[in-house]
Amino acid sequence: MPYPRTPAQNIQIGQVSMYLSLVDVAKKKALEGIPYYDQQLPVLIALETDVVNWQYEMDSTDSTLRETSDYLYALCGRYALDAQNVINAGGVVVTPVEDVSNYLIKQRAYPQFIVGAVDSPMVDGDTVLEIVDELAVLESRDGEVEIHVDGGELGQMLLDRSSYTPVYETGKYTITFRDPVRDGMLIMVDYPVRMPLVFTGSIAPPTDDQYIAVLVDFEIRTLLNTAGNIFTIPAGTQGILRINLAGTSTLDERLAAVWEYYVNNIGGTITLSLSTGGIIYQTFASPMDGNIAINANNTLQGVEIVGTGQIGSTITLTATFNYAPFGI
Amino acid sequence: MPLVPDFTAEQLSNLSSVLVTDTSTGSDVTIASRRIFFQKWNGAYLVPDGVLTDYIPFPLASGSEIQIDDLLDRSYALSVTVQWLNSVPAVVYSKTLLYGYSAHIKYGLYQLTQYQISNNNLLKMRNYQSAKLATWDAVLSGDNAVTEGTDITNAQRCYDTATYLISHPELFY
Repeated sequence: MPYPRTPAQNIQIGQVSMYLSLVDVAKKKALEGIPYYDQQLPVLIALETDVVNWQYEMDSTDSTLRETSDYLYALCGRYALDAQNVINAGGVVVTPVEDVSNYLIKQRAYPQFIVGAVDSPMVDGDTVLEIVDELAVLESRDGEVEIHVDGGELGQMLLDRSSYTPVYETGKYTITFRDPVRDGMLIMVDYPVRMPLVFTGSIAPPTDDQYIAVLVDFEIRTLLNTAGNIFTIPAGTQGILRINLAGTSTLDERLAAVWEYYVNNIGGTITLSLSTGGIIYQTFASPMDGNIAINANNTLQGVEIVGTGQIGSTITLTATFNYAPFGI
Repeated sequence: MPLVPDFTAEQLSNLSSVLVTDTSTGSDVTIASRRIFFQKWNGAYLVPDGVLTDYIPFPLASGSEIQIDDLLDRSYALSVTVQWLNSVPAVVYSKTLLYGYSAHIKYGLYQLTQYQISNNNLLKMRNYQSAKLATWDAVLSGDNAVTEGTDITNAQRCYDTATYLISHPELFY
């Protein structure tokens, strides 16, 4: 079975895991008064992520990156799965119309072909196959590239036998075979795509309420749910509010952010105290850190996120809120 | 439009070579040749074996790029100067940038990571952990001294510390 994650993905997971483990250490110290059993873990994850990332930037085709990046993934432990959830959150599509849309990741079969046959995309001696599909998504635990040649499955990025390397860009996979293909080979390729789901009638999708804003150029907008509301904090409560935010732009930039607040609405005036949080991953050319504001709104009795866009692109911000009141 | 001098000098993945790219804009018909100087923190010049001058020639015939092989035998913070000369030759334009060439140390750290794969408990051992973290801290501090402080002396000190740690595994790891 081919590896589900590329070195680049493992490095991303390391970057986010570093942050998540740091939050865990801080929380356990602050809330439980006990030191986390491995307080060095965040630093070690940061070190190994940095080291592997350096080699990746020096030479992304280095054959040792498969092993070392998998080692990094293993080092992240339980934080690796949480990190994948944070990274993949930017891909959720919600259409704020009468029917709310969401999507699943599915495997799609590229039409099988025989090398050298009429209309075959590859001929004898070729090493590269391009698959263009606007619904193609990055490999993840939910879907991956799989290739069978003459009935046998190929591994990814192996040194000692035939293998392949998939490289993802938006709407495209470029697959490079380690060995040139030969006339007569039967090649079958599966790759992950997102399949939009449309719920008709009164069937509501089983999804958390999402708060969305679409920012065109320098627009300033508040993230709202489909009912047009901000996230409300019931009067007379206090508790921990956790906010997950994902952002994408038409320039194919992404960001992921997590915040945790103590919230108090006992007297009708909402106070927010930041426990921890911020943007933990972003590829925006102009950092978005100053473009996202989280405020208490006493008039609407809730917590709102206000986003400011950037000239030259359209940014979609999607947030979920999880409020856990104290049972005091 | 007159020449606006600029260049990059990036370390290559073989660790010992530097690729110098002339990224100047504009033009000047009086320019007949170029030179590259790599100067260490103590003022001495670094050149490949066999080069008898303090500089490395960068002929116009080379085009916009020249690869300088066998220059770096370890990590250095270097003040890199490119000069554009007329036919006399006299310097018409000059530009100097500070570079931190720390790939030797980082490759050493990467080799340790490879070693850890088959020796999973290494990173948990206090000595090993401390030494690797100290090496990483030293090399990042050196990089910061270059990029944030433009401080060649302290950058080299940091690189030398990291080099010593990574080169003596029997003492520290």
